[in-house]
Amino acid sequence: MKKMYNIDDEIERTLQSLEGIKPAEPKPFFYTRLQARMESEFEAKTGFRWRPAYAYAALALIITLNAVTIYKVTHRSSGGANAEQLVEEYGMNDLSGFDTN
Amino acid sequence: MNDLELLRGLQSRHSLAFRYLVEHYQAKVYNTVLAIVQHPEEAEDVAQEVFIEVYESIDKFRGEAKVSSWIYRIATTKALEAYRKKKAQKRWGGFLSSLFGENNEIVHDPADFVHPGVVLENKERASVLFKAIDQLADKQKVAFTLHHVEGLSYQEITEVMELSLSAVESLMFRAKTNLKTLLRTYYISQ
Repeated sequence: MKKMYNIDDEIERTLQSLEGIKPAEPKPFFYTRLQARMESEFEAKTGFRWRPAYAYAALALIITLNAVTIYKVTHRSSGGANAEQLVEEYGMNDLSGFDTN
Repeated sequence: MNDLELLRGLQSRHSLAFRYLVEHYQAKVYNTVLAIVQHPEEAEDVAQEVFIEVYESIDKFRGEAKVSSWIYRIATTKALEAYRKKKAQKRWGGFLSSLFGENNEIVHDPADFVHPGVVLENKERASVLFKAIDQLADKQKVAFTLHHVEGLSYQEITEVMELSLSAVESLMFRAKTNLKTLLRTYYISQ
């Protein structure tokens, strides 16, 4: 005997088959793969690639700049001479407008 | 991290903010995309593209919607693009191979898609349903997927699809009607 089944019933049950569905998750380390892809796309676009040599060069540059600055600051000529120069330059020797009592 | 902090972090290109965003949304994005493209490897590729697009267009996002709505919107758009592209390739592939007289490659349906999150006893039925969902018009497919696969409310769907509530209700109604028709055809032929 042919098995009769209610098509409407089947349709309804199939429509409900997503009840209780849990979200699918991407494979582990999705972020790592994403990062790698973004880096390679960036390289392809700009032709720039981070290399250890670039990092060392940047570090050397920063150290050099710092060393020069430190040298300049510690070997400044005496404050007295500089103060006189400033007074001359800015015409600060005319105190007539001030009450100096 | 709330939406505002997240946005600020993203806009100043803080990698921690981006990482937080990816880890917080990767399952939502992957799940949504998977339901539409119905192919795990492709879903992974598209999911990556979604986050790349998020990263590249963060400055254009003015916070006029929730971050989640914005991300779902990008995810559904990219998934549909990938789906259409694949369908076009299959169509042309079949056409070209018949044109050049190769064994008439039957443009076959996607292999039975099994969503890993479906309850065990429903897996076969769900496969049939996903085949039918595959045939829906884009907007109906998106609305139905967001509601039944991602569990978004109709209200949340209005924010993702930028449609009115009645428009979403209408899409859902048409989706169900069309799915019933497709399923009827399927079960009659069994």
